[in-house]
Amino acid sequence: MKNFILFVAAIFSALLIADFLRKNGGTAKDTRPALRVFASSSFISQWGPGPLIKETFEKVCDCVVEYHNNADTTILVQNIKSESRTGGVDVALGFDQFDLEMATQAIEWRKVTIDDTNFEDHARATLQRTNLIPYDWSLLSFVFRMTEWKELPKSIDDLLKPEYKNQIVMEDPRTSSPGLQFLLWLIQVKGEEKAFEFLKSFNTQLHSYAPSWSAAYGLFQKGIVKSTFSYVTSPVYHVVEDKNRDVVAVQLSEGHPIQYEFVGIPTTCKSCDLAEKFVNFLYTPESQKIIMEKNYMFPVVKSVTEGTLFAEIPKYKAADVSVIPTVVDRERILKKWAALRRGE
Amino acid sequence: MKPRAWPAFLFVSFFVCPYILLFLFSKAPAGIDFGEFLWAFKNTIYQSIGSALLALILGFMMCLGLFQLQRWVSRKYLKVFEFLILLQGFLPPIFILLVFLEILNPFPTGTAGIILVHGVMNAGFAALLLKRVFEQKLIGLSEMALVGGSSQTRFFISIVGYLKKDFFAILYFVFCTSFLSFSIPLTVGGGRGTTFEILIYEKIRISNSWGEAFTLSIIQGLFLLLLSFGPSTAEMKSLARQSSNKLLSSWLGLIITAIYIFGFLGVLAQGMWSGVSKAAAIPDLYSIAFSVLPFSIMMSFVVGIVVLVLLLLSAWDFPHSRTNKVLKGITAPSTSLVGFGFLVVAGASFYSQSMVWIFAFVLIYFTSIFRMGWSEDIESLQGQVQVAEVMGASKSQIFKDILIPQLIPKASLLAGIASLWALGDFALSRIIFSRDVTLALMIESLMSSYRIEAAMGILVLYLVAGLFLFLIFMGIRYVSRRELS
Repeated sequence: MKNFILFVAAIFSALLIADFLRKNGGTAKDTRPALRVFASSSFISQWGPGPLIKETFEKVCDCVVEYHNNADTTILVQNIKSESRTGGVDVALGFDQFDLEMATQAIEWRKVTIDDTNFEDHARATLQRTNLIPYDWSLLSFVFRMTEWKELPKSIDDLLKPEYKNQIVMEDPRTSSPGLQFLLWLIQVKGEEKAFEFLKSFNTQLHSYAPSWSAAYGLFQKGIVKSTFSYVTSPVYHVVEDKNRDVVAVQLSEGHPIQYEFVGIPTTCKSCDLAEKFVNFLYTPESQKIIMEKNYMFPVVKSVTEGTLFAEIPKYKAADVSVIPTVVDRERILKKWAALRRGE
Repeated sequence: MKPRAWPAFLFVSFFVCPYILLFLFSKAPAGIDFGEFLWAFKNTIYQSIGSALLALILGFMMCLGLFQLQRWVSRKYLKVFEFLILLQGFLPPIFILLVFLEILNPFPTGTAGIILVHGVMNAGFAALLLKRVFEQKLIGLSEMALVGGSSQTRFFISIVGYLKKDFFAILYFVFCTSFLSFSIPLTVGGGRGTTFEILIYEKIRISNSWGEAFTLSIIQGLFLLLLSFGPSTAEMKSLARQSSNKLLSSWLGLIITAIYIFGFLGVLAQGMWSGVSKAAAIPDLYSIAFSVLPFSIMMSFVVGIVVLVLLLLSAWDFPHSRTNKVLKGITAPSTSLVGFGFLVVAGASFYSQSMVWIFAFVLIYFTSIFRMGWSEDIESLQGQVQVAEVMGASKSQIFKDILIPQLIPKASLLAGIASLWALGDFALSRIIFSRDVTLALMIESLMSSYRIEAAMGILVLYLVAGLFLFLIFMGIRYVSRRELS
């Protein structure tokens, strides 16, 4: 028993020391005021826009930006609620337009004054609804590798052609935002009844429904499927990182769903002035460029794309963004979708 | 309360705490949609039974394959094969799915797809559990049957009745694992992908109906508890013999084992090979990965140690086995429920998140680990404990001098498995931690920003870390064995 305890203690101490040495490379404790920003992992991670924005903002704010990762928006809302009793959440990022109702029902948001004169017109239109403000956006479509196809689909109905059988992976709308975007967009363009008629055939065409965008895109990248539903900005990633212009997002005659990502300041914020500064900082051309290049999403501020690969992306027809089903309606649609799948 | 009853009480409290937490935060059970419930229940039952049967059949063949291998290679090399055979059960599900979908294209979605993935993933565990049963119960019998001129088919037909309780235990283990699975049914389940776990997730995420999720989780737990009242495993002998003969080995089994190990590893290695260069092209990626490595290993190590201590604690009241009975029946609450429930207490402090992370993983993995033949191991010491009791040994003497020394080697192995699972998880970790502090979270972040190939490159580090952790627990096993001898 003695040897056992000694062995376990020795291993634990070694690991603890290794971790301690890594974290404490001689840095002194920072005494500057902290700004607590809660966001998604794609924003915060080392290869997302978060670290660069933090670095540039800290140079001008005399503060420390603390990022906190959230698995999804339900968790984000839960964290804002529970943190209001302790450290507080100063800025929350990552809601899409379908989360707005849930977010505004659960949390009270501060009105933030920003200069929106340079905003894209469609993005400015979203400002009327809530105190949450969009900071990036993209349309969504099906992405393909051009070299694998003689002809690409031009409308959503083309995807029912036999050549696409088992070649497309979709995201599950119950667990993934792009999956939900597709379903709600389909209902918007076809009407509910026809959309579900379409889905009956479309579901049998699919390779599978993946639990997340990353899993679906992974299957596409590994060549297991030949198409997936993603952002029209996704091909830019392949040009930048893989030097590959083969990936394209198709233009559909029905138009395309659009996704905005929103930022807001809860009224329970602790460093509210800093939070306002940070949110405003997100709309500087410099930050918008970082978001665009690291998140692979369009900026909401005009002219930022000029001279970049994003300017080369063709203009896609967008769906009407004012159509946002209520939480109750969305739940009903998802239940109907699940019921349809049961019959397969 | 008598001191003997304390461990059972503590275990019950431990497993009930997420429900209490939810209840305290005003999330009381609520009525459910019966049609929806029946649909999910039916799907889950079908896929779990199918997965358990497939895992048992494949596991049986691979077990014979391992016995065949044992005739040629030394015990040391056999251990390597035993580690490789378990690999599919440790890796994050997304990578397992990628390998499957790459090998089988088009992949059979629906119930067949779920059964195939679960069955194959768990076959390695089933093979090792069966091998242990055979070593303890069949070596002598098979030698006698061999002398008597029995054929292999006839021999195995005749022992089915004798081993039915062991087969049931393995079926129950895979059944429970498949019953609680989330990502796999969601991805390859097609129309039949709605299982209990997914329904619970839907209730929380889409309907924000915690009450319904709560009720479903209780039903899930009660159902698995009911099943655990099935045949319990027969008593084991305390000594196993490492030997093999013609009746217990098979060439076909060896071929299946080789395909199982090298087919999977081949496709995985191919992905990792191209991934390494992609990962190397991202500035600082490897240095960041190395920086999170000590913390990932340390946290997974702590999970393993806590599991080890709890396993030993579960032997405290033996042979009055109240704890044993409780743990055989109890099932961990739904992963989604644990994740969301603990979110309430985790907060934004890194230290509280770390504590909650350890607690949540022990809670989720412990019952699965316990079902890997642990209670049979304890029961195998019944003879020794009875003799000690007759000779007047005290409870603590029996625990300290008889149970602990003999149980630590097996407990270390099981704790090693738990720590490997913790190392590879990113679903629950993502809910609890607010930063990418573990290797698995880093892999998930890479995947959510287009970089799946780089993520596969980082997987090499995960395998190295996994091997290191496994070796640590094997070290504990070695140290304890030396102490025993």
